[in-house]
Amino acid sequence: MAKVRADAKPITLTVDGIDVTVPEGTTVLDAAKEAGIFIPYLCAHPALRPWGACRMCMVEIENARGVPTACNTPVAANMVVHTNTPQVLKLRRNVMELILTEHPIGCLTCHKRDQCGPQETCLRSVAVDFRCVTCPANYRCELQMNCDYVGLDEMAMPVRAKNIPLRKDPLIALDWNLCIVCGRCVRVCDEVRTRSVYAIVDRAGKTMIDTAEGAPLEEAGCIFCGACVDVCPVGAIEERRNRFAGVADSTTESVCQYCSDGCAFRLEQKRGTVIRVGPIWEADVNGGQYCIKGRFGVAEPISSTARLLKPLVRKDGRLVETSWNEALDLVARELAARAGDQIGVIGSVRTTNEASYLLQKLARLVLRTPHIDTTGRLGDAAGLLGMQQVLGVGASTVLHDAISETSCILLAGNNLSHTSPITAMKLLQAVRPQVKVPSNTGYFSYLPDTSVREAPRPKLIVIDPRAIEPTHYADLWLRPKPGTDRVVLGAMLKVILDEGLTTLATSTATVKGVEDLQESLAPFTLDEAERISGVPAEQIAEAARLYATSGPAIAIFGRGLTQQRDGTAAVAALCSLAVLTGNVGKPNAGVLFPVGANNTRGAFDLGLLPEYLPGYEPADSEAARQRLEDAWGGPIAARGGLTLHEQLDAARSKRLTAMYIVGANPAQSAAEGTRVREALEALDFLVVQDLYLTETAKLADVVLPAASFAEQDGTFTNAERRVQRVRKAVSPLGESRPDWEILVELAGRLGSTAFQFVHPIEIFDEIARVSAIHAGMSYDRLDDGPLAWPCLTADDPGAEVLFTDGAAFNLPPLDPPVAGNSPAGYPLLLGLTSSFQHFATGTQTRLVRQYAHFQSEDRVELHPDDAAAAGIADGALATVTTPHGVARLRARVTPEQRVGTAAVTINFPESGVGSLFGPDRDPGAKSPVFKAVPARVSPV
Amino acid sequence: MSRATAAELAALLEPFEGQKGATIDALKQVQARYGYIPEEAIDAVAETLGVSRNTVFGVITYYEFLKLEPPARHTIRYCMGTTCDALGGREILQEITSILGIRVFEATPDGTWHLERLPCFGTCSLAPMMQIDDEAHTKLTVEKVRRIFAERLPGEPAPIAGDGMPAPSEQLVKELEA
Repeated sequence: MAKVRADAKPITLTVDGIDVTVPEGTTVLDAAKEAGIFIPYLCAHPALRPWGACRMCMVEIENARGVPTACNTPVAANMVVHTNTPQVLKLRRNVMELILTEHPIGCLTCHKRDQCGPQETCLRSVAVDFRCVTCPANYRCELQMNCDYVGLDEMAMPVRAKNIPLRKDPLIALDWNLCIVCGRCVRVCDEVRTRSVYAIVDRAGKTMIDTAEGAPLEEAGCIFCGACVDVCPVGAIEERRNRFAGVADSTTESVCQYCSDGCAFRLEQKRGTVIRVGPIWEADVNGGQYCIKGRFGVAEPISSTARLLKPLVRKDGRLVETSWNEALDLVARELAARAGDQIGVIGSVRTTNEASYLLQKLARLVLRTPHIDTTGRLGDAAGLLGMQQVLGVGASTVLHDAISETSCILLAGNNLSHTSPITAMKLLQAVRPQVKVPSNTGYFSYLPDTSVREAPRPKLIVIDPRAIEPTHYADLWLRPKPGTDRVVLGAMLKVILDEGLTTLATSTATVKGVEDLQESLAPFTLDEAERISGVPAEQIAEAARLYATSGPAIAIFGRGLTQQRDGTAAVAALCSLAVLTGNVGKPNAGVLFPVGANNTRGAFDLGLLPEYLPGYEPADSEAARQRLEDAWGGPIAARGGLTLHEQLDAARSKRLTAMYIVGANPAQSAAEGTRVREALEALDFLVVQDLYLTETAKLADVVLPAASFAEQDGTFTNAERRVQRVRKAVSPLGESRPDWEILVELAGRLGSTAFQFVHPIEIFDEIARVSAIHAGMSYDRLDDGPLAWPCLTADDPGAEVLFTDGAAFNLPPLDPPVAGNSPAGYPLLLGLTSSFQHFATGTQTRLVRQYAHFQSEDRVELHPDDAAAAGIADGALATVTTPHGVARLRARVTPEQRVGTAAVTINFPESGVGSLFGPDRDPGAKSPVFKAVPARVSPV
Repeated sequence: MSRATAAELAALLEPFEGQKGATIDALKQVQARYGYIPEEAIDAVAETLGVSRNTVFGVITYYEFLKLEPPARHTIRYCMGTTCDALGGREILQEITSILGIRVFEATPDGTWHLERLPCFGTCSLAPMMQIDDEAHTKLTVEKVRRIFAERLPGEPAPIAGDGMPAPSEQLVKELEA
């Protein structure tokens, strides 16, 4: 629909005798909707710009020529609109007949359709592929509804069967025989997703939607986001899985469980199983857009046969099914015997806030252990701590929507298209080439000009050794040697300070440490930075100037930075850059931190890590500890908690004797793969709470089956700090139970009375009492939409932009730059990379059977030059060797990779990729190094 | 017909760099240079203008004047008017399609012949008729068509004068005047 400017003036018009007042620029179609009057339409869509092609929405407007289409006619003062005059109704029926000459109509004009099922014998002898009752979209079809609305009971015109062969694309089933060429898929793919996979091909009677030369979707550039499936009004574009499952029994609004974008969607349930997810067009975060994981990868894993249905205990070396009572009693007995600091707790970045909060409460208050961490340590802890150092807050400082209004974007080390696809979509929408000739001159010239962005296209600077989608549109692409980002950022800081390009966003902000920082930057000369990073000096200087002088700028970072040896320092340098250029504390500028998983943010927020108590109270602050003890009514564990890898080291040395792991798979994802298994095997008692029998769960003494996100109520917090409601759509599979319920049961068996919860709403209320940043939130408020923390009081709208009232920033000095030296015999630098369809260790996404079409094993990616030097062909098996381990992987040779680098994915357990990474740690966050590891690759 | 090289295309499309709205202009330039839109030019146009390959393909297929196939060396324009048809035109056309092995509006794989059908030449007195490039062949019979193509196939020997009629338009005018 037409985008309406915020400052538009109100216009009053009359629709079918009803006076309605709407902002200027609204279309007649939307105004009629506002007045409660339905106008049928097919090509219009809430996510798209008006098009005016299908002619279904024709109305009569007094004193206007002809019968204008309501979807692309803007309202005018005192306009008088008639939507159902005899002339309009007759014309609409004619239009519908014309549309139906190219669409199967067997059931559309049949009065018995509602009494007919797919198995019935048709009394009119209509062919099976010409019926509604055998169409995947039956009762979900907008054409059917429109047809019923205009009341078409016979067709005067002949109908042509198109007989276009079906296609074999994965995930998306295309049946052009059902297509009415409304163009919605073409437009959503271009306007919203910037992919343009579909085009309207050929003309006149032969017009049809297709890819160039009918190529398979994958070759045509499709990212399988499913936007075309969601906008298609008929059954032409459908999700292949459950295509014929029909209409859902009920739908529930919830939030996606994969990445930290936190997209809201509808879970469609039929007979107790989630059959598909559907879009919420008015969703605040994502506006009805999803990615391959969220659109096609949610329903299958949660109803998979791989789910654990009963608790398992180890008897005679084997895991056997048991009852909840026996399992929980055993866990309580074993943990009680070791309470104190013999127990390590590893929480999940995927469970709800309520479960995360209860887990750390159980650890600190009942198990009395400070050793609490999550697998967020593997990628995001360095980001959190680096941002905390400089800004005092370790989260995105503005909503990610700011990307579309900013003037400059600095993207450092994050392949957004894989890790946060909706943030990537917002970025690509902003930076892709704009249509210079406005497309609505001429015929649509009376519409407000919405096709051209009001803000000028922002400048894009990418710092990434790898060619990623945004580099295609980058104004400046710095391609450093892996592991040298801190040096590049240091040199940019030096340019900005030396050239006096500094400014402050607000007069109330104070900045400490500028002199010390400047002093420490002396060795970061452009020449030195060029020598170490391989990025030309002038590019570094130009990037610094562009970032400092373009206006409001957004900096985005990711695991490319945080998984380096000096990840924490690199993130701190990036934040210093933002502070010094005045890009923190004002709208459309800031630092974005797209964390790894759906609730990594929430796990950090609620103290599921050794450094912080809930609400980012420092774990060693006496006052904070006292407040928490008062709130919980008991003493909490001592200071000095161990991080993930420290815990595993302690397990190996028998300092920890038991571990409680919830929804995490360190046996596959952590560095030092084989040694992690040793550590877990060395434990006397290991409890794993998970949905599936992961590599980690296979080592456990007790496995507790947890319920999926679709089977419980709760909240997730996305990377933007927005807390959103997760709602129960179906009952837990088998005997599995929600994480919070298991923790409540266990705490009761351990003799605690501080876990008297019967519903997550009570846990959330306690979170609001304990954590100051959540104080103003409640389920009631969250039902109206997401709230961003800090939200301090019940009428606080939440802070969408941080630091607007000033803040105290603290810029730490940088350690001198050092060039990394690889040991002899390791010519390549190896890093971890992501794949676009698999998430984390792939435990869930591997269960989506059709993803095997894209990738069915882990792989090593190499530049053609390096592959040629090593004698490895594309698709051949290769042995990857690092000083820490060996893995045998299939090679993918691609120029996306920088010369001298290799990348591996970590989505499949059998490949043993984890063992390639060693005991090196980033001193700041004590997190393992997954980037710039010396390696060599040889043919098998 | 030379194949489009990357350098040639880059030079040709340079003025359109980043201009999403100039797809048709860019394609017209390509067609003017090569006579059609070569496969590799679709990619080049998409890349240079910043639109998708699919969109470019959609534009090409919309406009009749933009061709995806190289033009044939000789175009046969066969009359499909009422008189030609009544005088056995259909059998003659069938003979042509079977000789050349193509259907109407197709080109032979070697790019020599392209067969088109036109509504009417307005010369019913000479029906049935066709034009090969600029030569008119009139009062056709199946035999005559076989002879014409027998002389020309295989390959394309030196042009033959159709029925001894040099410039068709003048000839037609004369005949009509007579």
